[in-house]
Amino acid sequence: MTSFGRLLVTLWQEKNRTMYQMTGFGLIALVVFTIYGLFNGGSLSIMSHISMVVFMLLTIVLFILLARDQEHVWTSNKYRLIPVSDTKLYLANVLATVLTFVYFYILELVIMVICGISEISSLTNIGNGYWPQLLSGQLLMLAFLLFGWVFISTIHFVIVSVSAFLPAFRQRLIRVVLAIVIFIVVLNIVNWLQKLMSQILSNMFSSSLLGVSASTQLTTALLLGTLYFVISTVVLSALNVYLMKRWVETSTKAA
Amino acid sequence: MTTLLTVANLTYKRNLKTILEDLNLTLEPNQIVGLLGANGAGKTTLMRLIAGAATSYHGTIRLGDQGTPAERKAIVSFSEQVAGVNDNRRLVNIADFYDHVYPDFDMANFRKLATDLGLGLDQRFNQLSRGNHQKFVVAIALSRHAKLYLLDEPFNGIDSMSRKKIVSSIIEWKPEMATILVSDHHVTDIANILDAVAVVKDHTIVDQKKADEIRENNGQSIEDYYESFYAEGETDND
Repeated sequence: MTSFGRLLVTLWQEKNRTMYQMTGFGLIALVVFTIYGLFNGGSLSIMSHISMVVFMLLTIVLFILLARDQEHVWTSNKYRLIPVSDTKLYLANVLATVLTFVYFYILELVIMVICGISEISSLTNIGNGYWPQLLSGQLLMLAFLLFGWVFISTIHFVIVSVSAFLPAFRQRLIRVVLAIVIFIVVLNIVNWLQKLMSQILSNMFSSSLLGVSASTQLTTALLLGTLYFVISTVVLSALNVYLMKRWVETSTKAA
Repeated sequence: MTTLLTVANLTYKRNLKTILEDLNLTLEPNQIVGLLGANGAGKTTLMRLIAGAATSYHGTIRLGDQGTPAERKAIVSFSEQVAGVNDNRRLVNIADFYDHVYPDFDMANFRKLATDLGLGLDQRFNQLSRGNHQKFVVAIALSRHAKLYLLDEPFNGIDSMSRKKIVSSIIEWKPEMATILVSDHHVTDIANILDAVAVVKDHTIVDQKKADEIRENNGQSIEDYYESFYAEGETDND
């Protein structure tokens, strides 16, 4: 049997190829736009702004590409025939996606710091009280992205599972209609859970944080939001693993 | 003799259609078995089920004492494991992937086998001809030290020279005590190397016999034996 660690590293390395390509495109775009800015009378300080815009767009693109790569694993013989349980493959794939994104985020930060080196002093002026909020904010973003990837897998798995019970005739049309219906249904369920959760959290929040400073309240709110997304991710993941084991089979298309 | 593979009362339905029904098959170790049947008879589906790529079936599939899909994947090498590779990668990089994720993959064997088959490892996957594509698929499958090899139509759409090379590789590289189940609908390609055959028709295995038994007892060639199942003018069943 293949070990979890070996599988995780291999999947991570595969996903990193997409990430390196994106980072490469980002750097090229950064250089091109900076040169363009300099020719139009700007100073080098515009690099920090350009890098922010470029990497913000790249973050969105990378999210989509990593989702595509993640979904490819579920229905590809190349991955599904690896001798591991479906639970291990699921965990390794999702974790590899998250690790790739974290790696990209660190590279992105390093590049942005280098680009904005002239404005680094403003960063050091941030008071100690803001760091917990910044970190909590990053955690919330990561939890939100993780939830997004898992949510996409849920939609994918439900479509594959349901379509297995429908006639082969006009499968493409059936899948499009199913995708829309399932997206709305799952979104409504998640929305309902979110309302329920936020009700519980706001009750906790209002009663336990009376008299606490605004920054602590904000940090707590961010952490509770993170917790909400983590719990939702765990619930959807349990459903995903179940569907994967029972109904999600590999594609029969040739390589 | 011990049994390597036991498939009992296997039924598989998909998209409101019965693909396999109440199918039974047993394979012994150290054999080359032909899985014969018309296009769409269910040969690929049966291999997918044995390999663990398809899971929503009724019945039993056991390989020795290995019953779960993950356990079976560890000892079955299925040619379809190449499906889904990145088309733009070099063959050596693709082989590296298998070397990383399959504990039984032998990179040295792969290099020798690829050389035997005349494959350039620096070639990109999407630049391979149909024949070289099939050779690569077979090379990857046979480079694992598995107990059961499932080769799904390895001679489909390739020229006679490539066919001969693949056939000789199968004979040369088959590990002792391992069994190879090779599916085909052109029996002549593989008839000479088969120890036994199983015929898939009407969603099930309609007959399973040793090659010698067919030749000696029935006085038939493997081709005639296979064609006798389709002699009533039947063609593909889907």
